Amino acid sequence: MKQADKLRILNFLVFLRGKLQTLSIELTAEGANHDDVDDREKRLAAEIDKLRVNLMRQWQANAKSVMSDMQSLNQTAQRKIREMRSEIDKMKKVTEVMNVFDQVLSLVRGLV
Amino acid sequence: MRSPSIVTIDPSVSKARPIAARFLALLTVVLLSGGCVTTNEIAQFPLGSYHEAIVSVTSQSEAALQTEYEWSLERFKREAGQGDVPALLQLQLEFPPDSAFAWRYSGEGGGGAVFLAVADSRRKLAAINDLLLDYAGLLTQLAGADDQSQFDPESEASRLKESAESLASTLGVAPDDQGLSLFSTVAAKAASAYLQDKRSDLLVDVLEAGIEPLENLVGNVQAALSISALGIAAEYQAEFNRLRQEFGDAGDDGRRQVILDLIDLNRKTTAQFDLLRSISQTYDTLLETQHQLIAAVREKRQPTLRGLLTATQDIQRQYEQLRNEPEGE
Repeated sequence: MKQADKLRILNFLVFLRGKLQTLSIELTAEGANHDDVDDREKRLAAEIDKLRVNLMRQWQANAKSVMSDMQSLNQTAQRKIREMRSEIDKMKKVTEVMNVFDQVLSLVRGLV
Repeated sequence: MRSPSIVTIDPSVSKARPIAARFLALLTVVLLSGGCVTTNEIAQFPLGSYHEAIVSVTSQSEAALQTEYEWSLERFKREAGQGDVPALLQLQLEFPPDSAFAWRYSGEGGGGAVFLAVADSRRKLAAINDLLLDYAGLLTQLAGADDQSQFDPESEASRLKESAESLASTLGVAPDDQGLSLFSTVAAKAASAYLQDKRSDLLVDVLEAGIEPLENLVGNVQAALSISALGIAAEYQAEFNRLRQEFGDAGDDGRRQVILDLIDLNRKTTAQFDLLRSISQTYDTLLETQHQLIAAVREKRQPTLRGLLTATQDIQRQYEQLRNEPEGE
């Protein structure tokens, strides 16, 4: 069963449990026996706990693929950073070449 | 006349020749078009506020799961004391034979107790958030916020000018000031323009590559927050039952205290719901922000990030409010 479907079921069970609690309080106020309702609410609470644990374990399993995708994305980003740094290094070398031109030009003008 | 300084530069000149040839073409285009960038246009896109917002939302999401953990642990202790759950089996550790350092809970599914599953989810969420933080950090680096990937044409030109002046002084000649940094300055500016375009392209690549993984991440984290919200509801119901029992057993004064406790429980529960909802919505804004960043980089303008920043400020405020609320009335 899909995680989203389990979430909907859990949501409904929690809602149902609240209704049972309300019913139990109303029966108590009227002086009626509410043991059956309390017993059902207790059993429902145990099922809710089991479903919560099941959902969390399923979510944890799904999280592995999300983490794998993000790790791959970060590796791509690291490659791009290396590429950028390499480009900057190249440009610095180019400006050094230009500097040689400037040096020669200014010296020639100074000598002549 | 041969200059010692020129001799020392020679190896780098020969090494960089193919690059220089390619760059000269670019330089020519820039000179002919009169399109030199100003030295103020340093090739970087500050993403500091983006990174800070990611730090904020990830830390809040992990803190938000703390409440569910604490409430479920308290209930486990209480119910275990009453013999209501097979606590021993749920807490028994076992040590797999394949590793000296490995351990796990022996119960089905890695520990049947709710608080153990919540603890595992928190750890997993923290790991996912760490990867998101890494991504934001790498984007910031790529955008040029770190020293190693910056190219400052002002300092490059200045460094070259000083070098030429030093050389001229050594040789005892007076260089022609007008020609001193003619090419190197223009080259540095053209290099800056080139690097800015390159950085934009690489940033857009990484931002676009991030859309699908981020969509999956956001969906996954929002599922965790929804599970946590329903968990809070279930813990509330368990606590409500306990208070209801106390109410039935108590006298008038005791009943008053139970009502006050219930009011306090309601306030904490609803505040936690508000916080979880806000965090979930903030993760949605991460996707919007990704598209805003792509547009901003393409258009060479600063991203506003208004939605993300407002959302993170809101959850920070809600979290502080929740944390600073006094116990009881």
